[in-house]
Amino acid sequence: MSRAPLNLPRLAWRYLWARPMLTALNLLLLSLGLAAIGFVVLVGEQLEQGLKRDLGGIDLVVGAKGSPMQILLAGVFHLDQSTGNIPLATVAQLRAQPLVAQAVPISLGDSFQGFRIVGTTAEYLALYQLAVAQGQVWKGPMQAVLGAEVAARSGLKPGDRFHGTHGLASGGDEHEQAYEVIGVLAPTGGVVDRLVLTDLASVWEAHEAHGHHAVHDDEASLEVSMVLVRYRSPLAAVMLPRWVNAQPGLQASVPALETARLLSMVGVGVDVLRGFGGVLLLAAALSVLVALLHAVRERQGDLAMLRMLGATPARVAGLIATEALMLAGIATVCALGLAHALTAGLGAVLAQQQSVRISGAWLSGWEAIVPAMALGLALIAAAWPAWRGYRLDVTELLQTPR
Amino acid sequence: MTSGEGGALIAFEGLGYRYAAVSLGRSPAVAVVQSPAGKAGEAPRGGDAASQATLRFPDFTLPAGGHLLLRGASGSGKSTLLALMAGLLTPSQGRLTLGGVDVGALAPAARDAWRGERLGFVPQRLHLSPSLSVRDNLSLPYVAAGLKPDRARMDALLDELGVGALQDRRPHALSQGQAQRVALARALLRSPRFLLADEPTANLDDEACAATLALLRRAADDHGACLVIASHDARIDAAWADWPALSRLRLS
Repeated sequence: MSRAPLNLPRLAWRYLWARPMLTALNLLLLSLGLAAIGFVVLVGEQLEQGLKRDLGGIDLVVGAKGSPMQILLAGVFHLDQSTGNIPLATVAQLRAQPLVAQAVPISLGDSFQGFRIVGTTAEYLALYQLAVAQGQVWKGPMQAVLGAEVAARSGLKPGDRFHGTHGLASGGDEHEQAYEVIGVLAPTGGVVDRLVLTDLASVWEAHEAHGHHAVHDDEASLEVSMVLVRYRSPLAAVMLPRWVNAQPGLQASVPALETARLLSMVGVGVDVLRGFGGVLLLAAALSVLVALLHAVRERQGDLAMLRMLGATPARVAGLIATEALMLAGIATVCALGLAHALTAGLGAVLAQQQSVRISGAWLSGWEAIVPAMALGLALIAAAWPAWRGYRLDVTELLQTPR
Repeated sequence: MTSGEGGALIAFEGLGYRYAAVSLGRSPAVAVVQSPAGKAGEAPRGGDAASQATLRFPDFTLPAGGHLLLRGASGSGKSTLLALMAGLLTPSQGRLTLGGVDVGALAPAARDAWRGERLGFVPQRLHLSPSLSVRDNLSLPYVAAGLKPDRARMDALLDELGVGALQDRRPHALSQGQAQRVALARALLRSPRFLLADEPTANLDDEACAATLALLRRAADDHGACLVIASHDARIDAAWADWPALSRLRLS
């Protein structure tokens, strides 16, 4: 242990661990506080990035009258039920608008092993810039393209068949007609990985066979759940939602607005967690301060002897500061590890619920805030004790006690 | 080998130190001490003037090759004189030279460096760090100066003082005699020109006292250091009555 020659950092290290319990406690406080901050950074950033990615290039979602937030959650993030159905003719109406660049219908309502089946057109693949990894895109009804995660979890490959379930939860009524897997998408890291894509007509066929629709060929009675819209010009942002909301039975949901609302709701939780981390850090800083002050008092003799042996006051102050910096350094490493572990844990829980995707392996530039805060706290906590060390009265060493 | 002051090793000229009594709460006795000449050193009591008192020291010169025994009751200024010699305090008047160096005139950083290099110090309460092994305690003079510890020199000194086998022990596992030898080794490590000891025989029985004095005297001889001992212990006078190189300075 003492083979290497002693120097200032090693001396600080020995002093640090001369009180192992106190040092461990301070380390724990610092690490927990910093980990909470790091966790907020990691989760917050992934949530935001995930939302952005799942939004793709979608400027507007048109659904049945209801909550715009619900329309966004159901149509884009696939986290909620749709608000109802709208006539298929709406798609043509929207496409006729000069301000619309693209209008892609989707039909929701069925699922496979808890993964949602989305009836849509091939334009959906273009909207999300999706690539087919195996097989090909559907040519007709009852052909399905699986998201990467669906394929991996179910073990299905092109050529296999499966039955869809009515409703979004697994365990509903199975439809009689089987889908044929015709392709598998490359992984995207987004919500599409957990979707089964198929032709719009598949959903109608499945439900017709089930007896939901009496008349098959009547175009006017065909419905979709929502239409995803991409604008042609920024002007559309002003005009189009107003136009949509003026149509009977239609509701416009602007993802930019709804996501901002969503994030502000999530933001309360994030703020609470951040505040909690802040309180922990404050407690840690105070604890380190008290520990260092105590150490300076306890080791007054040692420090005075160092001065007697020729150390400058700055060197004595530096010794105390080094202790704090070492503590901060270890706490940073622990905190980053803990933050990633917690994020991975949350990611695992969310994956079980087929919800937002969060990874513990995600690295963020903002994690630099953890060492930065640790450094700042260490310097603040060490300032006063170091000053006491700097101003140490060495002559007391010589005052013979009586 | 000695320079300046006509070969004097240590010289005090009109040396005085002015206290602010408030900063000396722990040793009020020092603040009211009289100068040896019996003039002017007395602090008036009460009022603002009581907050300051000047301690004056007699002029004194120690020739090259000499050693110094500072005598005086507690509170007579021995500790203050040691602190002045170590450059921990700055004279408020007069001059103090050690080995030709005007200690009070050095800049603070230079004074710290000079102290580390030229001065070995054995405090009364030894002040070995309880958190560190003997080896690490012995490394402190190097750490203080930002130097790499000279392991060979440390080993040689500990062996010479008969405590070479104790390097991995903590100070609390040492006997008083062993601890004193370790503290002496720490003081001698950087080959100091001056070896200062504060009350080295206090609380020692006669046998241990004689052993300690012999140890210090031999260390000073072997390492060519000027020994400066501050003590009120009368046994030292008796033990070193036969040492012609020893000068005595009595503070009252």
